[in-house]
Parts: sequence; C-alpha cells; structure tokens
Amino acid sequence: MDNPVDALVILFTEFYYWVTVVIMFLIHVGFCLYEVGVSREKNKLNTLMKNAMLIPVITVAFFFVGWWIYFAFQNGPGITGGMKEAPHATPWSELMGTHLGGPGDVAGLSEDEIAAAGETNATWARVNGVFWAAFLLFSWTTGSVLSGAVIERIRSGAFWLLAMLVGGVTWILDAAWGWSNEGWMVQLLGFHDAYASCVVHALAGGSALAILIHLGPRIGRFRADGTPRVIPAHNTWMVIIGLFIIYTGFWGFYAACNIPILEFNSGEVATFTATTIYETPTTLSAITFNFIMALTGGMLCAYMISHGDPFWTFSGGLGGIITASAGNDLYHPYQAFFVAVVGVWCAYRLHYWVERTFKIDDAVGAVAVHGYCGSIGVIVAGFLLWGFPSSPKEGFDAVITPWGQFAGFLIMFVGLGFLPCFVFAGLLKMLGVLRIPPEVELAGLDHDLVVDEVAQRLEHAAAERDEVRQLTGA
Amino acid sequence: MPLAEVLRAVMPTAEQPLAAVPIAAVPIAEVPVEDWVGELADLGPVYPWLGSEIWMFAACLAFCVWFMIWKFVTEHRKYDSTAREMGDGDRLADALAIHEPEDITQRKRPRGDASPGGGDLG
Repeated sequence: MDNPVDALVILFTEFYYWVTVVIMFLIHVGFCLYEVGVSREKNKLNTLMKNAMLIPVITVAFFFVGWWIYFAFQNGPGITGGMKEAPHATPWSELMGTHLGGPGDVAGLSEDEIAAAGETNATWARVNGVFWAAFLLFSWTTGSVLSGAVIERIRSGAFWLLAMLVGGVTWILDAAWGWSNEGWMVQLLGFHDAYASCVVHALAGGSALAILIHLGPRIGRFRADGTPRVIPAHNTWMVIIGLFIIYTGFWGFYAACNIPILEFNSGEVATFTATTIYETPTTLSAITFNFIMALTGGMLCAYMISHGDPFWTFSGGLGGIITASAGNDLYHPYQAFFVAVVGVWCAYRLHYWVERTFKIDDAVGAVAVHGYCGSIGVIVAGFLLWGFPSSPKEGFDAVITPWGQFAGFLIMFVGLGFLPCFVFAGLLKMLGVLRIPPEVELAGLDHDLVVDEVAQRLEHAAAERDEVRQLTGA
Repeated sequence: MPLAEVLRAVMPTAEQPLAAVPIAAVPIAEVPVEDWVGELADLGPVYPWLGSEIWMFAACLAFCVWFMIWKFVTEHRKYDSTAREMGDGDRLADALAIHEPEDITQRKRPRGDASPGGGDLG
C-alpha cells in the first residue's frame, strides 16, 4: 500500500466483499428451502442433505483448483497467451492462509517478482479470502441450480461429483475466459456479461439439462400418452419463502459482481467509481434501478402467462433478474424491464415445449429460469449494447456485438455447461451410480428414516406407558 | 500464589520456550512470529506449521477423496439392501401407503353441523 488512499481502497474492498458474502449466503438458504419445499414428503430430508452437502464438496474443490483456474486460465491458455502465474491462488500458497501482507516466500517467488506482476502481498493478503469467498458463493449457486432440477431420483454421491465438476472447474473456467478483466473472450469477442446471466446461470442451466437427459424423469411424471403430470410441492409456502430469500441474496450477488471502488483513468483525469468485473464503470445506483425493474418485469410477465401461478410468478422475478443481468450495468431501467419480460416469456414457453417434446423432468424449472433466461439475456445484451467498448484495458479493443455474445452463449451453455456434464453424467450412468433403484424411488428416499423414526416414537411411547404403570401401580 | 504468577511460571515465552511446559504445549514447528510489537507491515504469513502447506493440502485432499469413496460405497450398499427388501411387492405397497394422499375433496360435512363460521352454508 503505497499511500493512504490505496490503503483505504484495499481495506474498503476487503470489508465490501465480506459483506456481500454474508448476504449471498442467503441464496443458498433460499435454494435449500425452495428445493425441499418442491420435493415430496417422502424425499424431503434426502433432498435437504443433497443440497446442503454441496457446500462442503464444492468448497474443497474450489479451494484446491477453482481459484487457481480463475487466474491461470485467462488466456485460454493458448488463445491470447500461455498459463498465467497465480501464486496467491494455489492451494498451498501462503496467501491462502493468515497473512499480514508483509514479505513472505510466495510459492518460490521473491516479493520483487510478485510486485513486478502487480500483485503485492499487501493487497492479496487482505482481499484474497473475501474475493475467493465471493466467487465460491457463485460456485454454490451453480451447484444449487443443478440440485433443484434433479431431485428425488439422483444418487447424492453422483450429484456431488457433478457439482464439484461444475462448481469447482467448468464455471470458473468460463469466468476466467469471459468474466475477468483479462479474459480472452473479453479481449477477442468483446464478451460482456456484467452480472453473470450466462457465466453463472446459463452454464449451470446447460449443465442441468445434460444431466437430466441421462437421469430421466421421475416415475409417474409422464402419462402413457406422453403428456406430463404435475407432481405437487409438499410445501408451497416453503417454496415461495425460499424464492423470496433468493431474491434477497441476489442483492449480495450483484454487489459482489462489482469492484467497489477503483481508480478509473480516463485520459489525464482519474476518478474513483464502482466498476464491473471488466473494470468498466457503473454505479450502485444504476444497478439498483435495473435489478428492481428487471424483477418487476419478470414477475408481471410470469404472473400473466401462468395465470397467477405462485411458483411461476416468483420464479419469473428471478428469471427477469437473470435475463437482464448481462447488461444491467448499462441498461436504462425500462430496458431492464422489457428484457426481463421477453426472457421470462420465452423461458416459460421453452420450458413446457422441451418438457413435452423431450420428456425432460426439470423439477424446479431450473433449466428455464437459469439456462434459458441466462442465454437469452446474454444474446439480447449483444443487440442492446452493440458497439459499446467491452473493456478499458489497452489491447482490449473488441466492442460488444451480437455475434460476440452469441459465441459466448455457445461456449458457456453448450461447450462448458452442457458437454462436460453430458459426458460425465453418461459415464456415471454407465457405471450404474447415477440414479437410485426404482424400488427406492417408489418407497421414498427417506423411507428408512421414516421407519426408524416411527419405531423410536413407538418405543418411547411404550417406555412412558411403563412409567405410568409403575407410578400408578396399575 | 496468585494464579497470574503460576501461569507466568509455567507458560512458555519467546525467551524461555520450554520452561516448565507441559509436553502438549511444545510447538512442533517454528513459530513464525515472536511478538506482536513492531512494524506490522513486516509480518507475512503467521499461521502454524509454516512451510508444511503441501502436506496439509495432501492430507485435506486425501480426506475428501476418502469421503467420496465412503459415500459411494455406503450409498450403494444402502440402496441395494432397500431394493432387495422392497422386492417383495407387499413391502413396497406398504411403503407407498405411508404417504398416500387423502382425497379431501370427497370429505363430507356431517349433516346438521354448523359451518365453521357459525352460519349454515348448506
């Protein structure tokens, strides 16, 4: 920290991200409620544990490799350069531990070498953990998107491996490419996805779709003539409260996508502003307008097309935010509103078309809300932001275009989302460890627990009756 | 003897690290900081077992791999056993019956009862 302003910026950044992480934790609370509420009574505890345990399994994967991938793979590698040094992000780095910012032997590099790379211990010692955690919370989100879609018939072990692949590797690889200030997709394609429509949501939706294809629908989900049956949620209140809490957590998500204060050099003038992950300027005011207007457009549209269905109305609010997120740093609130309306309308129609045509059983509509809305959002941003510079960095001259955004959708939804999960889920299916046996599915994943609990209650009741007999001498 | 003096006598210091110290308190690696006085900016990593990061990483990785293997093995056993148990159709029918929904639309109000609101809805 060369001067007091730098020091203040670093300390503010540290605290800023720490706060966003706490708020973002609510996303996971909401996903848990939502998913457990949608499941049937006979599966609710298994559903809870499958979702809750993705926290530790994705966390270790992200600590081991994810954080390093984000910095090391920004050039491809092999597209705009080789692997980049990321001494602060290796799982054995001193900067991944308690570090006070002074000199230290960072993965064999001297402090001079680190300073030359623009990465001083003073900075990373304070922002590494909170920055890591903010990205980790996005990783959990990708895992939760998968988790909801596949409930009531996937084996937890298989699901956690798939969640580790998406949360610890594929999403962070696409973030390195298209959601960093030095990613090759930003440099060459002018790719822009300020609040992760595609980077997080479309990728997770594409991954979920691939897994669902191999997994197949729940027993009884489709009639003999191929038309779908509705499997009602066991607790609609829990579903709706969960979605409300996800909305709350998304405020933290938006804040975490920004770099809070950055010295933004425009010619000879230096000003301090909030910036996106690409270091392009925006304001918290602008994104607040757009977040709420996108939520509004999504809810209105979903209420209308679903004729007031609570599940779709609340999901539509989320879908609206996700659709507008790619350009919410620059949109006018009316634009955010109508982008959300278009995204939610298309996603709703696509959901039922895919369900009927391909017999895809997406239990929570995750592919629609995250996959379709995110994909539509990133492509629409290419038209609305056509010609805007994608980055202030020297050598990053590509402007935002529809084809750059479309290429981004293909790379993320298809290339890094759908394909790896299709291959890996196919392998797990081949090994017979993807889906639970039909007998277990019919009896319910909690059947053993229910039987045990009934036996425990009966035993305890018998003990109480014995006690009464002894007391009364009867 | 006041408690503070007892503690001073038995607890190690930077100058006298092993004075009357119970064996459990002996550090197994060099402590990276001697005191908290001085220039904070000079302090780098301060966690215990500095230099053992690779080993700690390997141990954590091994534990996580073990967890996943344990999960796959136990899950496989459990589902196999439940599937065998449920192979008998009656057991499966009983299991389904636990969660069989009641058709509440067919519930009838006993004739002659007042409605919950006190009025006669009939």
